[in-house]
Formats: sequence, structure tokens, C-alpha cells
Amino acid sequence: MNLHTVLLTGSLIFLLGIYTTLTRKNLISILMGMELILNGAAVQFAGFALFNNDGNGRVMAVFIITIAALEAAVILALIYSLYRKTGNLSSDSMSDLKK
Amino acid sequence: MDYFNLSTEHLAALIIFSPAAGFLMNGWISFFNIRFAKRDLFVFLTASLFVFISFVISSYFLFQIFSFGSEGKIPAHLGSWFSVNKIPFQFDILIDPLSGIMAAIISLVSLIVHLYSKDYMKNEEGFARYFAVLNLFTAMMLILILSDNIMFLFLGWEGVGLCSYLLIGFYFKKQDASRASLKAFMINRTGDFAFLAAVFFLIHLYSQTGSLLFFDFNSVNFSLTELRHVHFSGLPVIEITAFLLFAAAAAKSAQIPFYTWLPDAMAGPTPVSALIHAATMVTAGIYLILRMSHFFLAAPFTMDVIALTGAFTSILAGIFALFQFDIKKVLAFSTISQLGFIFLALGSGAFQEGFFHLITHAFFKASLFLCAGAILIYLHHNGDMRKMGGLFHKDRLTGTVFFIAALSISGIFPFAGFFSKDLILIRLYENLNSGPLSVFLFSAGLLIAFITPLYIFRQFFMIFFGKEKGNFQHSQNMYFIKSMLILLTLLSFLSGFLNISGFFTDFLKHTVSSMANQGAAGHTLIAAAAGSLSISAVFISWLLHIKHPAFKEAVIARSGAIYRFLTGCFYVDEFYQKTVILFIKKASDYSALFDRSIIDSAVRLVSEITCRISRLSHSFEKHVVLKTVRLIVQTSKTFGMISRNLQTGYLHNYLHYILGGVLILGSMMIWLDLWRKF
Repeated sequence: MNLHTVLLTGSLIFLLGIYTTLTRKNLISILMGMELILNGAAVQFAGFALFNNDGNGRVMAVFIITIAALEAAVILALIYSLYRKTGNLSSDSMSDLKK
Repeated sequence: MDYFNLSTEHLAALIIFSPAAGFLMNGWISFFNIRFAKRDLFVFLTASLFVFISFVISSYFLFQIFSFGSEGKIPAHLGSWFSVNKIPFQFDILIDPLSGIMAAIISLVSLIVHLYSKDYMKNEEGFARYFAVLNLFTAMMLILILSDNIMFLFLGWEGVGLCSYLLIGFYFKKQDASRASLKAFMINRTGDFAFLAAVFFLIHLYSQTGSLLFFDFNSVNFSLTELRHVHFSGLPVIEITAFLLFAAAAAKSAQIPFYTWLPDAMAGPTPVSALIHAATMVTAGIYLILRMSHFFLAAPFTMDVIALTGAFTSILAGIFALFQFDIKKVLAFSTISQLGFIFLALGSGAFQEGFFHLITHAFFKASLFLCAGAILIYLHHNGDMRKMGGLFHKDRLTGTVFFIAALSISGIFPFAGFFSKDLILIRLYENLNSGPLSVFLFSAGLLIAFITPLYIFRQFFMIFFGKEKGNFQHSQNMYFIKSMLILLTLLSFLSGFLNISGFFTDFLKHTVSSMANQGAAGHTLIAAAAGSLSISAVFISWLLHIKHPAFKEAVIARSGAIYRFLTGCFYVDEFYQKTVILFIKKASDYSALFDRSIIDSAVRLVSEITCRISRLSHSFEKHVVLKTVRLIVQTSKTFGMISRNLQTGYLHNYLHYILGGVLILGSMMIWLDLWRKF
């Protein structure tokens, strides 16, 4: 295992996250895609930290995981309140941005 | 400025504002035709009250001035008007002996006429209008009298002209009244033109001397004779200015060649004739010359012109008065004649004496006019004296008043006219040794002293004696008329004693200039000569009209053409009609032709060009501007249609945009990085 493998894995996870975010209509799925994006970035940080023997990358990976957890908590709360308002989880019903 | 304080200022302002307030109130009532019980009585009482306030305040100031002596002055600043080229024109009034006496007399005569009009204008349509304009006139006249600078005076000057116009045309439904009012107004406008020109010259002089615009020449620190060196196109400016001022004064005071408006002005109500066209407004011209007497003294040529004009006017109008049959026209010509006499006095440098005669004349002429008004009421406003006669026994009061006023105007001792006329004759006599002009002026003065009793007693005898004629009808409730007649008689009797031992002329000596007294002897001689002339004239008049009327008729019958010429007033009016008015008419015809042919065609050309241009601009508008606008609209619409598709509001669309944006930014950064490296 070398750095390239790690970076390719991270990028793959990142692209899959973007793909998921763009293609799915379900809000939960979009959230999951966003988590994948964050984690793809975290994998890259971790990979750099491992191979360059730099503590900052690890700190950054942990920081991203923390942010992701917080984000998930906030967004799940938002999704719940939206669900209570509209009765479904499709992002098509969330067209209030036009207003 | 020692006497200057706030309360005097307010009081002085009240002299003018009180009748002005009366005008506003009665004018409001008249204009909007507000009706209420006892409206006429209300209007009469308020109008008279406002004038009475003026009278009381101006007499108060006169007494105050009197206590200060002949140099007494009360200035008051009412407000600022405008300033041109650093020359301030302000609403300033100045009460000095001259304006103080004048204001008191104006308000007194105005008050008397107001009270008289109560009976005279009874049940007349436009009662409120009449009193409103009478109040306005009083206010304007007082502005004219009291103003401290020439522009403010001009305001009053125009104002009294306007009121004269309104009151002559009071019976505006009558053709001759409205024509007469227009005539008076137009002729006065000619004078106003001269006045304005004089004002411009005064402003011109102001820039060189610093303080000529105002009448207070005593405070001016330069000599007026130095001003004679200021020239305008070869003529001394001071002469031009004085001449223009005199022309304005001649138009206002009905002198040759402007006098023709005054006889026609008799179409107005008789109290108006008494107030405006005998006692006050027509004296405005004389007042102007008196105000500027120092100035006029520095213009000897104009002084000679004034004296000559006065002499000719006086003699001519006296002769006209001898051959008139309308009761008021005789008095009108008599007014012109007496004003001419005053001008003669002014031109000979007898300013104070002229002013004294002005005052006595105001009283006795007003009383003559008011008598005429009373007679006109009895005779149903038919003023032809040939249809009168023997009225003395019907109305002894009016007869006596007329008789006393006639004695006064004739200058018979001890009535007012004697003192004032005598003073002027004495001054003319004293000037005798200064050339042929002075001889002519003195003989003109004597001639006037002879003619005056002739025409006034002709009128007296024609109205009050002889066969009883006329459709006489006693009117009831003429208490106001009668009491005013008695009051005026007293005034025209007593005012002569004002100048006992030079009291009056002394009081004026610092305000009105006076030529050096040449100290000739023989004053009693002059008095006796003038007195005997007057009495002989009365006697001749009596002979002609009472004793031997047949002789008079025979003379008239013999001299047909001359007589017609005389009764037609030398056909001066017709002459003006044929020359000046015809000229003006022709000139206006030509200017109308010019207007139609050249100006109108120019206007048409301009309008044609404008039309063309607008047609062009219309097509430009249609083909270019409109299309451009449409294009712009269409473009923005298209862009809008395209860009509105971006704004779907769907969440994932925005995510696409974000990704696109990130990709573009990222690629740009990479590209920039690469570009910097290579």
C-alpha cells in the first residue's frame, strides 16, 4: 500500500459522494452523499499524514469527522422539520429557494 | 434719529395701514358681494373709522413735529423692498413739516368726503365698492405723501392713479364715464412714463453723489449746483431729471398739455371729484415738486418752464371756465386754473406760498364741489347751469357755503384765498426786477386774480339767482351733507389765518426751499390792487348776470364763431383727437400691419419650420427610437426567459450550479498556476 492507492481511494469516495449528492432526490441520500464527500477528504488527509509522518493531517481528519457528526446532527434536524412541513423527503418539494 | 423708537414706527405705519385695512375689508365685502343686515351702514362706519384713525394719528404727529419746530423729523422704517446695485429701496416714511401738514389735510378732507358720501351715495349700487376704493385711495395718497424715497412714492403715485381710474369709472355702465376713466388713466400713464425716466436719472445720479434718491437734501454733503456739471448727451442731467419730474407732475396735476383729462373726470361721483380731482390727488404733482424743491431750484430752466406752463394753464383754464355750462366742469377748469396758479408760484420760487395756496385751495374747492353735489341731488343730477336759477331761496345753507367758498377762491379779504393768493402775488412782485419773464408772470398772476372771480361768480349767479328754474326737489336726511358743508366752510374761512405773521411759511422753512427774499416794498399796495381787481371782477360778473343779462346775450349773439370757439375750449380736445390720438391710431394701424405682415409671417414661418422639424423627429422617433426601444425590450425579455430557467428553486439544480462553479474556479486556479509557471 502506498500513497497513490490511498489518494485514489479517497478521490473515489469523494466522487461517489458528489455523484450521490447530484443524482439522488431523497434528502437522506443527499446527506449521505455529503458525508461521503467529507470522508473522502478525510481519507486524503489521513493518507498524507501517514506517509509524511505529520501530526497535523491526523488532527485535520479528526476535525473533519467531528464536523461531519455535527453537520449530520444539524441537517437531520432540518430534514425532520422539513418533513413535518411538507410530508415527504423529496428534494423536488423543496423549491422555496425560488421565492 | 433721536425721536426714533418702536412705538412711533408702529403708529406711523398705522396711518397708512388703517385705510388699507378698510380697503381690504370693504373690498372683500364688495367683491364677494356679502350681504347682511345694515351692510351699507357697516361699510360706511368702518370706512370712515379707518380714515378717522389715520386723521387722528397724522394730526398727533403733526403736533409732535410742531413741538420739535421747523426742523422736526420723524422717520419710520416699515420694511425693506428691494435693492438694486447697492441702492436700497425701502418702505420708509418720513414725517416732517411738509408731509405732516399734507397727511393731516389729506386725511381730514378724505374723512369729510367719506362722511359726505353717506348721504350722497345713499342707495347707490356699489356702495361698498365706492368706500373700498375711497379707502384705498386714502392709503395710496398717504403713501405718496409720507414716503421717504422716490420708489415708494411712485407706488403711491401709481396707486392714486389707479383709484382715480376706478372712481371716475364708478358708473361704468355709462359710456362717457368709462371713456373718461380710460382717458384719465392713459394721460396719467404718459406722465408716469416721464416719472419712471426721471427715477432712472435719479438712480444714475445716485451712483455719483451717493444720496440723491432721497428727499433729505439737507443731510447730503455735496452741493446741488455741482450736479449741474453732470451731463447726459450734452444736457445737464439735473435739468433733464427736473423736467421729466415736472412732466409727470403736469400730467397728475392737469397742466398744459395734459389737462384735458380733468374736465372729463367729472363723470365720477361728485364727492370723488371733490376729494381726488380737486383737493388731493391733483395736488400730488405739486407735492412732488415741493418735496424736491431743493432739487428744482438747481434747475433754473425747468423752473422757468414750470412758471410759464402754470401761467398759460391758469389763464387758459380760467377762460374755459367762463364759457362752460356744466356745474362740475366749471369747477374742474377752476381747479386746473388754480393748480396752474400754484405751478406759477412754484416756478417763480415761491414754494411755501404755493403750498399754502394748495391747502386753502383744497378746502375751498372741496367745499365748492360738495355744494355742487348737494345741488345735483336737488336737481336729479342734471348739471346744466342754464337750467338752474334762483336756488338761493330754496337752500340758503348751500347758497351761503357756496358764496363763502366763492369769496375765498376769489381772494377777497378776509377769506382764506385772499391770504394765500396775496402771498403768491407779493412773491411775484418781489421777483419783478429779474427780467421780462418776471413781468409776464406777475401780470399773469394779476390776470388770474381777475378771471377767477369772474367765472366763479358767473356760476354763483347762474345757480342761485335769476329766474327760478329747474325741477327742484328737497331731499330729506341730508344731515351729513349739511354738517360737512358747514365744517368745510369754517375750514376754508379759517385756514387763511394759518399764516398770520408768517407762522406757516416759517414752519416750512427747513423742509421746503425758498428763494432769497429780495425785500421789495409795497405789500399793502399789492394786496389792495389784487383785492380791488377781485371786487371789480365780482361787480362785472354781477352786472353781466344779474343787472343786465340782456347785454350779455346781445354780445354772445354778435360773436357767434368766437363764442363757439370759447365754449368748445379752443377745441383742444378735438385738436388732440386730430393730431396725437390720430397719430397714435395711425401708428397702431401701421404697427398692426407690420404685426400682421412681418411678425405674423415670421411666426408662421417659425411654426412651419417647427412643424417640419417635429414631423422629422416624429419619423425618427417612429423608425429609430421606437425600434431601438423594442429591440432592447426584446433582448432583455429573451435574456429574462433564459435566465428564469436557472431559477428553478429545486435543491439539486443549485447543487449542480455549485459543482459547476467549483469546477470552473478550480480549473481557473490550475490554469493560472500553470500559466505562472511557464
